[in-house]
Amino acid sequence: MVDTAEAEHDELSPARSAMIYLVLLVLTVATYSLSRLHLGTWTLVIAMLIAIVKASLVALFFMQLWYHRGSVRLAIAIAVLWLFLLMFFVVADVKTRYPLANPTANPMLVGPSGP
Amino acid sequence: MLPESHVQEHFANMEVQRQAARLGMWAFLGTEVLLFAGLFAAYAEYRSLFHETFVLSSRHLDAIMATVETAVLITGSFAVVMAHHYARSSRSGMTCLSLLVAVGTGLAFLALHGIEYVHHFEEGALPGKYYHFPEIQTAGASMFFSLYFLMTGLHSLHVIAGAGVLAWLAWRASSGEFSRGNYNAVEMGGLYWHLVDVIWIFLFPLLYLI
Amino acid sequence: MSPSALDEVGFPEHHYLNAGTTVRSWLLTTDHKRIGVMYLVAVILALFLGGMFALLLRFEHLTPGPTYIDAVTYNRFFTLHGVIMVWFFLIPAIPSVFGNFLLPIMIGAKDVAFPRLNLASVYIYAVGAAFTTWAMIHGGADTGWTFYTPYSTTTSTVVAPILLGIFILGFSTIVTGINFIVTIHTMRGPGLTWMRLPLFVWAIYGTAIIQVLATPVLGLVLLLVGVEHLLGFGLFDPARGGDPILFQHLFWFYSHPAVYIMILPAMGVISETVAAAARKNVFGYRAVAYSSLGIALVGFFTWGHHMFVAGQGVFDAGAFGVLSMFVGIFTSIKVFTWVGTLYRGAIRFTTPFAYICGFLYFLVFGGMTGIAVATVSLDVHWHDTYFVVAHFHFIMVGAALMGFLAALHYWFPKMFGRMYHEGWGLVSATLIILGFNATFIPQFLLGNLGMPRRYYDYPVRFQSLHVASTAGSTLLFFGFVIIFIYLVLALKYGRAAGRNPWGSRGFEWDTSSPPPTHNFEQLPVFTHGPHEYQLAPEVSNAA
Repeated sequence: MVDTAEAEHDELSPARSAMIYLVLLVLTVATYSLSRLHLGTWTLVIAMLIAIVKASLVALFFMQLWYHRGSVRLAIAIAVLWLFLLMFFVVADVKTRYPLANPTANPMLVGPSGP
Repeated sequence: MLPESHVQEHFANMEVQRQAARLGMWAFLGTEVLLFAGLFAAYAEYRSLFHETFVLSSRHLDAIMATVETAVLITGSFAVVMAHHYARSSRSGMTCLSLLVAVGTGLAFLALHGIEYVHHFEEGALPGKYYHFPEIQTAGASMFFSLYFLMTGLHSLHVIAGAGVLAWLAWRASSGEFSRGNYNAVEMGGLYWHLVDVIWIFLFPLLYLI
Repeated sequence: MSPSALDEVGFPEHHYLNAGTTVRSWLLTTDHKRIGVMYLVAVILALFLGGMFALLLRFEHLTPGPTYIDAVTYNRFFTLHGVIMVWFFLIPAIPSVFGNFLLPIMIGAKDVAFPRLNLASVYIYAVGAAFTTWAMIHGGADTGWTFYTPYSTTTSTVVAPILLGIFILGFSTIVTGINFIVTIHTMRGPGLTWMRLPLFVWAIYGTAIIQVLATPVLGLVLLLVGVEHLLGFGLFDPARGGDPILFQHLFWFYSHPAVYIMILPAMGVISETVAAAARKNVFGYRAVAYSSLGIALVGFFTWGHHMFVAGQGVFDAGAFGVLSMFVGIFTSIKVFTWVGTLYRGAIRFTTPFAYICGFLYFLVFGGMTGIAVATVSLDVHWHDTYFVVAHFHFIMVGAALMGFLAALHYWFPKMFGRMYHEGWGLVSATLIILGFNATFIPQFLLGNLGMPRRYYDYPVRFQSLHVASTAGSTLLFFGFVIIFIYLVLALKYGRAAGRNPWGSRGFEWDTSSPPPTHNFEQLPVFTHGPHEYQLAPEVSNAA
């Protein structure tokens, strides 16, 4: 049984896409302004949250995931999850390693240009 | 031109063909996400190991330039969305124009980026063994710039590829190829361009705004 | 179903092989069946080349110390053996040959979703092979197929062309994976629900998911090694704060799921052939279908078990050890369902069945040794010894290659319309199974005694086990030569097989052997699943 089509009338209108465009620009400026506030580690956390919102707007509306079927959404969701899988175990590794096995413990490592 | 005449022989109808193209393109975009995944993982590792140096090095990048670059790419995405709309409405002239605007944003992005790169070359903030930037000499600085050049370099290669695809689609649009029954290619090319935009949306804060 | 016109010996007059006989009609074909045949030629060449390097290695090990080559040459040979066997044979063997040939037929489609991309994947494979061959002729790399840093980034041997060859080949894999996923999602025939799909299709689907998710990471890590080798970026260089273990994370994130790309299709083949051999409905269809997805996904959570002694953090070591146990559950489920299918079946002992027997034996024992080395405390002893080498050869050669041979012997009549000599088929299967045991059981013993892998020299007390292993490999070689001979002869002189020589109720047997270019005279409508032997013979989907 062939997967059936999604409704043709349910598409992104130019008006809505213009509005989302403006929202994205505002969020971009907000991200930059945020960095001027010097919030330490929170800067990156909030900036990444804003980035996730922006990317979601692009993916859901500009790329039409909002209007499309599940298999396509599942495909990209798994890809993103897999990205986090890789990052998680790599960071967990350096955080739980025997400290002298980490690159920072290298006695030859004085500056960026090495010995 | 009948819509059905664009259906390839092995597909039951145009809707199946469209859905197949869409799923195929999204699967390909998934592979692009995983291509960059290794670099994000490397970034995560080295940032956690050399946090202070990464913060220092990041402050040294031009965040205002990068903000402009982000806005430029987002404009390109908007242009591509409009191109898709015009293609579905069978308006070839506007389709072609929108696509060319998007290509223009890609070129503008690369130009701005190029200015950044030249600046880094001049002061010696280069990857690995080429690093000789006197202001930041703590451990991990060359690593930051290795990652910076690798991530933005790989991304820029994708911008070039995306701009090439859009330019080719613009040329096809100018000959009136796209219409309500045949706009798949514009949608697919657009998806690729949006992904290039999304990757930059994440690179921007990670590299410039730590 | 109205079959295509048959000639006087029962061979179809018009089929995909004689529809266009020019070289151009082959080089520019978009017919998935011809593409499958072209891949068959390619992977057989790769198998012989990789096998040749294996024999050269085994002959060197007849005596401790130098036998006939020096140590650097030995290192180059095991690198090339690994690279060719993994990327140019095992990864494409079943998916690109049998997946391509059978997938559209099994789902009632005329072709795959993107036929021109399919053809492109063949050329991409060829270009990748060309670069690797070029590297081989110029001496090849001596890093092992795993390219560990910092050696791979500092060695003076020819690393870059091999990296480029594999990088290019990766695109062939990705393209094939995308094609298969889209085909299965969007081109199933009317009535063909997910739970009526042949189990081979489920296996190919799981494989395609792995191909798409894993291969890009390989592409990136090879690129990074090349960039570091040529430009000194220092990403894995400790002198610049780099971490060589990061390379291993990125490499094994791909390479562990890659072994499931190799074994999952073989499992799909066995699911098909056990039902046909026993002429019995598959036991536990859903369990097998879901296990295929389980292997595809859970296989991604285990890569750190290659790094237990590399120095990775304790959290990772513990997590990967536990997660590696989980993936074995799905294989066990499948073994039970295959045995359950065979139990009380009407088994005919044919050549495919001989390979099924070999497969089950090698998968169970090889798989159990996999669970053994997944235990961190045990792997500390076995890592980088011949024990691991024997483990993965049991799975990759014993199981995956048996699966390939089972597929080749089961679907040969479908692909070429002829039967091969059954007697020689059984003889060569016996030689291969015996030869395999003789080659690799000594290697388990060697590994346990402490013989390291990739070592050119060894203490003389290990010699008798090495000689036994080499003798076994020679037996293996003869088995393959015999297969090659009788299959090539069968292409021309084999008797016409007829549409369905096995009496199988798999969907692909409803169309003629060889099939017409468009696969069917009439596209089938599906009213039931495959291998339903309780139905009367006339009730086929193609009716």
